[in-house]
Amino acid sequence: MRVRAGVALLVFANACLSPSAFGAATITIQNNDAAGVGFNDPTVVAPVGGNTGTTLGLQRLIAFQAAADKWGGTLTSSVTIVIKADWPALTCNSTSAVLGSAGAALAIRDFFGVPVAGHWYAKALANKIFGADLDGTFPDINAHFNVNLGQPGCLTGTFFYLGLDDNHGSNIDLVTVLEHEFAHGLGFQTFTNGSTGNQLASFPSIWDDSLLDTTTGKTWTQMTGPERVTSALNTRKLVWSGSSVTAAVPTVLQAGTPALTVTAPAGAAGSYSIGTAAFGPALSSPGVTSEVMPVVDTAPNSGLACAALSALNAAAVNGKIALVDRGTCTFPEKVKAAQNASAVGVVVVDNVAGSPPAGMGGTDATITIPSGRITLADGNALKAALVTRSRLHSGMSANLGINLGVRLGADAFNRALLYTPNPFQSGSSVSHWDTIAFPNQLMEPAINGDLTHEVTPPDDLTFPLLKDIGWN
Amino acid sequence: MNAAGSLAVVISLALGASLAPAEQAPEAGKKAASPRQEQKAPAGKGLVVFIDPVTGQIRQPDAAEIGSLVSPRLAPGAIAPLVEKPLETRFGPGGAVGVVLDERFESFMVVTKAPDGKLTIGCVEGRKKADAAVAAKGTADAR
Repeated sequence: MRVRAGVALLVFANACLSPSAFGAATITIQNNDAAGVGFNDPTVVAPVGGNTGTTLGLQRLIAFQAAADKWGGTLTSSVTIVIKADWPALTCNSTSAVLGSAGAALAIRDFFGVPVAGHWYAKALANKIFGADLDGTFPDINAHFNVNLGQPGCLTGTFFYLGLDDNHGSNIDLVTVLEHEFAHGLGFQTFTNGSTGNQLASFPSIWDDSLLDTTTGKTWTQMTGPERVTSALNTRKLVWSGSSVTAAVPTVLQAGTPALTVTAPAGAAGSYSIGTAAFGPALSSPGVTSEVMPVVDTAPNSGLACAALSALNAAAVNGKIALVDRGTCTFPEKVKAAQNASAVGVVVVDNVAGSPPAGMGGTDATITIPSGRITLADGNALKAALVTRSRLHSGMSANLGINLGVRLGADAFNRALLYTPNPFQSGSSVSHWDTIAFPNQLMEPAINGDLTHEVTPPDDLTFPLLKDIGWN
Repeated sequence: MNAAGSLAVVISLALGASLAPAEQAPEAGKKAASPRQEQKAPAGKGLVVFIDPVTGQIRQPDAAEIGSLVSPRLAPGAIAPLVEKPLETRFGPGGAVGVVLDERFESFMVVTKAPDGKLTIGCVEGRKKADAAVAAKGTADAR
């Protein structure tokens, strides 16, 4: 027993503290695994995608260090950033798994030299500003990743790709996931609870100073708890007001946001978010402009358009943008029914509450008119404005297309949108970019397969945000 | 602040050790908490009852047996139990205050594989939410 413990200690010491020394900040991976597992797994493997490790454990460590080096080469700090990492068993089944987790080990406020008193900072950022390690008892970031991924019963057959070249194929690119998780640990998060509105120990996070609700004009720091709860659900109305991100948005995000833009009547005028369809022509500019007419084929006042439209409905939507309700049949079937009645576009109203509007799945190569989906709340607002209409005219004028004046993932003032779905999604809401952002961003709540390993403009907005909270 | 002043502060504070637990370093002006009287327990606090594997009788375990009981090693592939404790507050020089963050504040990355093999990878906060996300079945949004 004693001998075995000694061997374990030796292995730990050898693999521990692998430093990155060529960045503007030094980030160290502290190996917290026992002998023979995780970073210390002795299984012999072939080099892959630029990862020259000869054992599974070493390849894991090299991938960790690669992600750390990306941040180390981007950020500046005179204080070594320590990431305490291990590979435990995490929850999984054959089709779903926890890949891993990470986060700041400490939140610290009111240290000497703090730019904004009474605000929580992630430990690594607090150390950077202070100029020394404020608490050597703890690492800066904790990280745990699933040692069983890919094994039978744990996302069977899908593994972490340990290469460094982003050539992950159908596997999961570990470096990308690590860059995302490390960013959270470096401060890309609020410690304020968005579902309760409660601040951590009654103090705001430095993050909250830049969270601006464009409906109220207040930042999260300025709000009460209940106001923050409401704001966290204010879909696409919560923006990042920091100057570094706003300056970078035009170089990073693509122009053109899908929208249903209603110009009349005045009571319904405005831009409504659209979930795009996977079938038919993509929304475009200038798009289609016409009157909006509802299909009414189902009691008491809805239109499912799941069969050929009646003569009255067909006459109503002829040359118009048809407004139909979600449900009973597929999205392509609804659009095709309206198309057959000579509609020029289709807007599907969701049948369950929630926002932002999701996309519409399905395929039908014969669909030639554009379509999109709006939320139930927006649909009800439009229907209320459509109550007074004639058989052939509604007086509601709208454009279905993309707004080139608004970038994908920002508001009209180039302020990046935070992810604020309704209902609230713990861990995803508020501490990520909105999923509409395009090109896809590292810090969206979902990791997209087309991400590169870049964290700076013109590819990515992560570093500008970290600059806004105090990094450089 | 000039460079010399900055250096002096950094050295003095760096030597001044880490943020300390609340019981050791109360905030200025506040009364120190009474020192705890309880005896330090070994790692893995709790009442231990040892049953002799041969006789089946309860007896006093020896040191090695205590070690194996209070520090159980997880079997390979086993998932550690979720333990939530009150957050620890730590205090440092100059009014610095820290809160030790646990799994509730960690960002968990969860992956789900659709029948067609497509992977969806998303972030949730806290292990409870992550475990629930794994247990939930994904639903197609085709209609």
